[in-house]
Amino acid sequence: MDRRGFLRVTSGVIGGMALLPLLERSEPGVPAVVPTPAQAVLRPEFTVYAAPSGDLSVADRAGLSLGAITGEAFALRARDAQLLGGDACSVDLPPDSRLVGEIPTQAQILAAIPMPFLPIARHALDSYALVGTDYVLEGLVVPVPLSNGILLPGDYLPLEEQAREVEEGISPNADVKGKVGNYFWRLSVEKHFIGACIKRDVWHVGALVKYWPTDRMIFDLHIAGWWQGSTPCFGVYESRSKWCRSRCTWNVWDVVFSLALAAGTIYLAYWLANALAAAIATGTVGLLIAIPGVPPPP
Amino acid sequence: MIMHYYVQEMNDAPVELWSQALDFALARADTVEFVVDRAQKRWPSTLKPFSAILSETFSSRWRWQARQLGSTTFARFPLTTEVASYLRSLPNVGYWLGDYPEDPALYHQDVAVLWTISHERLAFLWLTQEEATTLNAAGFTLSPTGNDLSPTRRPLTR
Repeated sequence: MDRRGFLRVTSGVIGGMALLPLLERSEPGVPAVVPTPAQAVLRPEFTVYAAPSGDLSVADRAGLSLGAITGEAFALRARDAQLLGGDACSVDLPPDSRLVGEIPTQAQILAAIPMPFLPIARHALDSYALVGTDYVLEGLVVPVPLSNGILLPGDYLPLEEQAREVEEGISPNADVKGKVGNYFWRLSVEKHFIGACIKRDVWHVGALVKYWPTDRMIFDLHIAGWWQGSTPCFGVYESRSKWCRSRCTWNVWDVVFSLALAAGTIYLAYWLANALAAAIATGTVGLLIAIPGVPPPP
Repeated sequence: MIMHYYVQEMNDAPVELWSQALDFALARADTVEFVVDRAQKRWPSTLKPFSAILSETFSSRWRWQARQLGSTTFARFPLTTEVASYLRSLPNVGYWLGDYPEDPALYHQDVAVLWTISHERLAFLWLTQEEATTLNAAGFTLSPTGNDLSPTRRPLTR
């Protein structure tokens, strides 16, 4: 059964069943860990309990054990453990051990995994490749208390630290954004609805700078391309000035013009963000008032 | 009852339209969804007080009714009085950036009754034609998008 087929079986059925092929890899005679969930978090179809020994046990929503998994027998890719807010965790469960890509060292993994999830790192490892695609199996990892059945809040990293770990294990963003003082900027390649004269869901390059305290847009430019039948179309829309042009043509100069405008706009956004950062750092932000459209500093 | 997504461009709209759209959708919703800003490598600070009632997080490349190049992390919460107040705390959809999570959306039984593209100041409402006509008579400028797909999809339910 290939990966896609395996996961297709899991969709729309009892989530715990998804683990059955994996349980075949479990070592016989390994007793299931009796879990004591530290927190009750509703949602997933199954829960993975990570024991300090490095063993994992899996239970369905009612807490019924579905089996246990040991480190050697189960190639859980730690970098695929997508640590989310709260104690939720999406774990990519590979149906076979033919792993691809770079294998990080144990030390690298240990440095990257929040404390409650360290037991996961003791399992065989591989690089992340498919987390963030369709083929992610979701569940919870609930750390089993280390002693006395008590898990102190200090055993968990702060929420934002767990969220930070998420970033290192999933696919890259297609946007770059940041906040410099009160200015928010964003560059992106994405697909969504664009209004004005374009009025369609369309792939586009976007460049945006806004002054957050007043939600004032400084500029918000979109360069979009799509096909209308067999004719290429280009659209340019700047939402602050409402300047919008769209045209479907084979005229190469129109195409060149659109691409040049896109490149120039992105450079302008990049330059402006840097200028704002430099001005704020040196206390000369007032000079930027000379830039048309840039509101005065607060 | 045939329903479609209608878009409201908030750029030039009266500021009260956002609160009216919220009121309309809040009355129908049971769940709130936000996009956790992955680029900032941390949860938006204003969202942290709600972490105790976090009901679901997931990552998906499906965002804004389309498969994107990168994945996005979504966080869902039950619609409580506190969460509703949080949603109403900003005057327009365009403010949902930076220290706030992006793209607030309201769901009823997994159907997005209101979803947004906050950096574009766009709001999408799930309406019948009659409802859209009524809202337009009240000052909205809603138009059908022609795309009724869900704004996001959980990976396992595709």
